[in-house]
Amino acid sequence: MNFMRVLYTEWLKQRRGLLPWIVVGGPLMFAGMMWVDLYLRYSYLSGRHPNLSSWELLMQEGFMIWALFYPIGITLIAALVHYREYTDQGWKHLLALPVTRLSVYTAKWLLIWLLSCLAAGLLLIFMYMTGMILHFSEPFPLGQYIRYGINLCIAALGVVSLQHWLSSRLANPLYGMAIGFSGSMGALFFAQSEMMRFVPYASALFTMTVDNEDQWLAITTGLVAGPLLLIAGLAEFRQRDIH
Amino acid sequence: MIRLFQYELQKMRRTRLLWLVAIAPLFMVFQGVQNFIRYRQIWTREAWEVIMEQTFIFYPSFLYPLLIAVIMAMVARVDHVQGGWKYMLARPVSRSGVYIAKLAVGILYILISMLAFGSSVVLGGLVAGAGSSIPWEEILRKMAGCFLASLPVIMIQYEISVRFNHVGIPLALGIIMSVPSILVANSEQFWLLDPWTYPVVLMLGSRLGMDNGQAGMMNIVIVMLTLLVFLIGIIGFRRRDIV
Repeated sequence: MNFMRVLYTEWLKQRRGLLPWIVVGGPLMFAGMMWVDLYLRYSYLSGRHPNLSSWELLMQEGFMIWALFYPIGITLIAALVHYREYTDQGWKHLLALPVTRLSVYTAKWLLIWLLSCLAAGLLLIFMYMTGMILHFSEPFPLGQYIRYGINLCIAALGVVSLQHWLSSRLANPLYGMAIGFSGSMGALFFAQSEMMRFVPYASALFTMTVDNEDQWLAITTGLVAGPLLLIAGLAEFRQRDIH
Repeated sequence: MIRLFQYELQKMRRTRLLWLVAIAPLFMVFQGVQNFIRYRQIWTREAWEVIMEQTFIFYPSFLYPLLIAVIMAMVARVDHVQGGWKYMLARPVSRSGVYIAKLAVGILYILISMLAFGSSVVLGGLVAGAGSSIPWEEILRKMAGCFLASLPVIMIQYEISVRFNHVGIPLALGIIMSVPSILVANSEQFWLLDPWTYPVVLMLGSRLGMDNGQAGMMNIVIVMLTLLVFLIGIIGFRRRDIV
């Protein structure tokens, strides 16, 4: 029960800030972009991929840009969730309350992950609306899109754990963000290498559900790196001196 | 003036930002060179041309604007925390001088980052065995074009970073504007309205058509917008109450 209250408190801190705008605005802007792209180039694209349905085309066309910016968005969410604590000595006030460090750390982690999932969910809704506005003739492949959403949520786990710890560790939010940006930039590079493709920043690149045999990569990385990094970060956080 | 510049440089030295801005571009180069080596058999064009195309492809639309956002946010942040503005402006310094000195330090960091990128492209090409006929002139011309075309973006990011003490605002702006820039740059007319696309158009210019009228228009927009934002910024900074 205590945990839920800590989580709710964390949300209250963010409710009026920049964060909700980013979570809603990011997917919305992306869908707008896809709308323009498909509106202008639909016949060219469908000529290039004659065996894909319109909905598959939409996912195929957009997934790469989304995969590059999704970890950047998570980085920003994690930085904003921690930003509050580093202004006005928030950490001291927060940890002086009768709450355990365990619940504070996991509540913040959960908030970041839930917001990342929310962004992925909104992405699916906005993509659906894009297709409706463009009058796609085929029926909406609900299962395929939901699997894409679930893949994204799982792929997010690794990045969330990593950025959460970095942002909690580094007092200057710009460091955490700069590391997250560089990691996300490197995603394409990581994804091409046998070993490095398990780096969490690259996971989102393997989430697409149109003719993609590498989905297991995103799922494995998310399910292994997510909990592992969360526990490692938590162990460090509990030992840390807060000043 | 020069002393103010030195002070600002001292402040930034302790932030270790230099490492980051010098290392982040290496990812792009790694990836580009890796692509070059992997598909060596397929490329039919001149080796250096391919190296440049592959390493430049994400730089102006993606990494470069984000680096500008991070650097400018950092330059302003050193004084946003712990009442830095108040201490500094209580001294006998001119406000315009402070504004310009900070801007100059930010630009210096951007140039260092570009230098790191350019030299690692050359180095990567040599290591990959692209031959000794290094196209210095073309690389220099593209980098210089990229820098000059990004001046409006630099000014906007700097002014936003100085004006708002929340570090998320300039970064969110940087991310939001860099997402669509590569798509907008592909459009026939719209790109003129979005200064974030100018470096993209200049650096990847050979592949995106641009006629003389548009080039002239772009130059006018660059000069006007840079001056305008700079003047608004510096006048606002001189008049504003610092609390």
